[in-house]
Amino acid sequence: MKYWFDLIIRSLGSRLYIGIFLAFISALSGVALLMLSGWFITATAITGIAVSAGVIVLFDMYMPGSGIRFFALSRTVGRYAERIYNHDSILRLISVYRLTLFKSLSTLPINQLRATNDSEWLGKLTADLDALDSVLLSYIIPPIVAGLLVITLTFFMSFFWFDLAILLGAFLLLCVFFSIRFTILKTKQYGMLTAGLLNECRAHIIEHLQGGFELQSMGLMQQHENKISTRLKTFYNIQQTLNSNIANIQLFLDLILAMTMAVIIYIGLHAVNANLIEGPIAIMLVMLILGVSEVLQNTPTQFGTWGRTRYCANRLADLTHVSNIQEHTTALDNLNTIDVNIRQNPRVPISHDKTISFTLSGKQLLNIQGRSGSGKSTIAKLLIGTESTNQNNAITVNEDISLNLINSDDWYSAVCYLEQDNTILAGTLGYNLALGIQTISEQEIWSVLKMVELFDWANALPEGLNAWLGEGGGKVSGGQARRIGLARLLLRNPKLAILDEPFNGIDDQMATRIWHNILPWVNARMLVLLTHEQPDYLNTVNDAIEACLDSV
Amino acid sequence: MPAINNKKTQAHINTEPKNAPVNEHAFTGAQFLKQYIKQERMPLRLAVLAGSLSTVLMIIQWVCFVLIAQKIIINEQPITDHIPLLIVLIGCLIGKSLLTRMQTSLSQKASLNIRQNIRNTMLAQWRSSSPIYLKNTSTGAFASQFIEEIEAMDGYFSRYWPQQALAIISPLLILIVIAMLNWLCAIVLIMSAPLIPLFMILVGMGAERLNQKYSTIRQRLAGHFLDRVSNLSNIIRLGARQSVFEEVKDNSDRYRNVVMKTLKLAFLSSTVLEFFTSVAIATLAIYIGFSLYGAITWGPADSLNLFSGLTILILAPEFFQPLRNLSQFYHDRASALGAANNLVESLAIDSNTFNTIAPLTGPYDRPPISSTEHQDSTVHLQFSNLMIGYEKQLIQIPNLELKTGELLVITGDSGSGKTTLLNTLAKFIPAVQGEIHITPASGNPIAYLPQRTWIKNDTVYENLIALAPNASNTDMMHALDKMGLSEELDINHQGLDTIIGEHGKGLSGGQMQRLAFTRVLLNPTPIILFDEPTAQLDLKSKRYIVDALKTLKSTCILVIASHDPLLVKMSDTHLNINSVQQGKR
Repeated sequence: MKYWFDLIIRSLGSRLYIGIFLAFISALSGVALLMLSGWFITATAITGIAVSAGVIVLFDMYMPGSGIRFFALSRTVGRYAERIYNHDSILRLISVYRLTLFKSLSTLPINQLRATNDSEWLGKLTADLDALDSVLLSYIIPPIVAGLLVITLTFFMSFFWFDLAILLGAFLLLCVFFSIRFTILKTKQYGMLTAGLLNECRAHIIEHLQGGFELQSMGLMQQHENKISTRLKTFYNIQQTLNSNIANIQLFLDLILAMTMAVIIYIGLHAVNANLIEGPIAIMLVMLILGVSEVLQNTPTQFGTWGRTRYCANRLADLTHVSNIQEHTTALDNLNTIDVNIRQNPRVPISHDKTISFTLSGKQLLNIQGRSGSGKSTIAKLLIGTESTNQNNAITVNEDISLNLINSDDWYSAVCYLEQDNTILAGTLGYNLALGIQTISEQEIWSVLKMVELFDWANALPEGLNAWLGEGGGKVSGGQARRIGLARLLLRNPKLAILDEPFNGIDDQMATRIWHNILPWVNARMLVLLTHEQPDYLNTVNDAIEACLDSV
Repeated sequence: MPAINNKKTQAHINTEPKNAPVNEHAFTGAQFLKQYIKQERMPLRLAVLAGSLSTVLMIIQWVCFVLIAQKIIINEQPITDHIPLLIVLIGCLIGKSLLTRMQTSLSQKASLNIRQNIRNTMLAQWRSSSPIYLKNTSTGAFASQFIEEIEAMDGYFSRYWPQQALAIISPLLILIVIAMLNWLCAIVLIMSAPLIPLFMILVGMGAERLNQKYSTIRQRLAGHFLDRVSNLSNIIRLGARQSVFEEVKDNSDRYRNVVMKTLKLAFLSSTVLEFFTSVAIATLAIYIGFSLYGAITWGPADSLNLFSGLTILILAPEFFQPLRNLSQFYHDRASALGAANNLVESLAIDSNTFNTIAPLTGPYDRPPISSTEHQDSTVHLQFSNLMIGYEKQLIQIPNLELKTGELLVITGDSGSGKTTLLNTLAKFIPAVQGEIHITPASGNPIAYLPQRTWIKNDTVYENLIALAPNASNTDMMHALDKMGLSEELDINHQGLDTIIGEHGKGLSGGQMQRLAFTRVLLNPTPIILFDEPTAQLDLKSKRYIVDALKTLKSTCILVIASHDPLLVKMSDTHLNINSVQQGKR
């Protein structure tokens, strides 16, 4: 948690102080409005009686009246300004959080990045980020404002009754302090537990639904629900305890503030009896307590979320701490040969029965064939570095450099990978195609689109290359998305290209035509082509090596 | 994935949902919420009652205070004369706090019960939905609805709803008291009361229009960060790390600007409330002050004294407080409605999804296959004029008959309909025409082993017990041994408590399939369906699987979709979907 507090204070700087000041002004105006009104009414009541009894009294009606109008206005304006300003600060903070997270995620080794496209993980990330809003709005601003308010009012009251003011001020400050500490103490555990349990339940639900076929066919779905129901019951119980604790602390605080009010009422009016202070002042004192109580009352609900926020904050902080990465330092100047040896890989069934071994050199093309589950993508991932190599799955480059020692950036500029799943980023067509390329001419983009038979389609689009492709490529069909992914690679010049089912979702004739178009590009580099079965167009390549991974 | 799994096509087929869920008449999110509130109306109404009593006590408390104040300040009586009033005052203070506590606990309990009920309904819906629908819709989205969205409804039930009622009752009570003291002040309040919601709505409408104008941009900017994070590995491989980092920065700034534009207007609506509140209090204070002074003499000014004046002043902010609380909880309402609309949509789809499987009420009672005691009567499976598929692809299945001890293998190209036939046999999708007869009609389930095995991130025990609830530990160890998994899963070290990783991490395809077969061996049904059981298996796993199939074949009817020639050789009947007639209705 401390990490996030520090981050907030560092990134907001003076914005934090201005925000607190605005909140303070509006809180003070609210209390001042009550106090002045109370004083005013009592004073005018007394004066009015005196006047009708014939006593001449000098009383300025208009100053207090203006004061009341002023505080009414300043409260309204203050509230608005405070909310706008602090929301702006929150949005700036969100930006800071996102950048921090992005930076640390992007420096993780790529084989740890697998989780980031998991919608479950993304959902958790969003929820965690949202929880951080509380830090500014509930944990930083309100307590400081409450403290400033008490101090200012104590100072003001000390002019009328010094001893009581100091005593009261100190007492209220202690109230604030202890209610915060107590709330955190009594709710932290439960807050963290509830957040953790919910996550557990989420994972169980997903598992439950994924087992639909098996469970439903056996009529055992209801039986399986029991586990979820049990976990949920635990969650409800703990949540109830959490809420109960918060409500009890609230009750306790309410009673203390109520008793303070009763004591002040007694002392105040007694002092009026004893002519120590005047009536209007006593009423003003009571209005002070009323106003301050309203501000202090919210502490338990504000800090009751501490546990949950802590849980989310810890998870996010873990993401931002970069673990010891083994430095991949070997540079790569040229890519001449690649030796691959795979055996006993759990995801490549045939590797249990025989070792998969091949060497690629020059501008060779290797076509690995196999149906789904045969392990094609696993081999691709080993080559690109998404899966780690080890003694059973060894890849050696240029005959003596082990793949896992090579500098990632060097490797990625030497190797390009077209994944099995389409990756269209939320952006324009031009953006998606030129992603990561420093300088490119429109000419080159259009010629590549022609090669993948997307020229006519793109040309017909009203915005052309600036056409928005939708979230997750929603505005393009599967075949179009595939071709855009392919086109992306055609704009580059890698030494090795890995294409995982490049014509998935594209009919055979179009596939053959496109292959013909890209043949010069294919022939200019080492290529690993992964397909379901032997492709018809392969006969156009002279010395293609073929391998089949199917065991049945 | 073959197109047969498209849930839209399912809806076209004549469906007669059995086990249809109860709330088919919940059309909108608001009606959905209302229905659940009805179930908990007792505690919720009690909460409102507690809140109202709290208001009453508050009024009494301040009346006592001002009475005492008047007597002491104006009449100069000693405070010791008014101890009874003081005691009433203290009693009200304490009572008020206790009532608030009660209100909170009642409304929170109601919210908990409602959330529990909604979750139970969702579980029941899933239970009666076709698993094809379940697997096709994002399980992440379902889980999100079940966990987060329903939790987001908590605020609506525990805070907003009681406050809605109190926002009418409390101000009314206060208004009555004030009216008794000074009718002019009451009029000021009565006028402000409707004006406030009116202006808030007007500003709200304006803010909404502005929101709409920027909503597309907002959505894109909001989704940008998550989109880039989810595509991070690609971005790094394409060498775009730095440029996308800059993008995220720029987009965050643009997002902030757009959101602030709409917020500036949206916050005005709550500022309207603050404005009217403050102005009303100021107006009353000044009017009362000037009246007490004697400067105002028209209207009911003469009747004002310290008592009435101070009471009105203290009660005036309390008049507006419930409305202020309500506006604070307003977003609770919005999120609850949003979640309810989502739920109604997915539940409505569920209620149309065909499902003829009657869920068994108790654990499926069948001894494991190793037991030699039981003697099942022979089961017959018969296809009678069966036509399966959907609009674009209808397949006429030849009339076949199978009995216990026989194996039917279905071969054909992928997408040809092998899986459709299995799904029809499993009753996950309805037959287009014709029937499947099972005699004797015992209502026994039909086990289905799909292509991708379901492995739980849990112990081996839990993985097995989920589909074989009656299996004993000994049975399990024996079955695992039979499938060659005992050493491979290191069962000897931690026994059945060995944990299998998430999504079967670390297990090979062969091991996962063998685990699935272990489950089936522990709880075989009279008819068992398999989708490509030997595809992509290493030789060792394949041997175990084929052995298991031979064991199961002797006491069950097996239906296997496969292109494995070995299985075709083992079969008693071989159906090649490719060469089967294209059906016509």
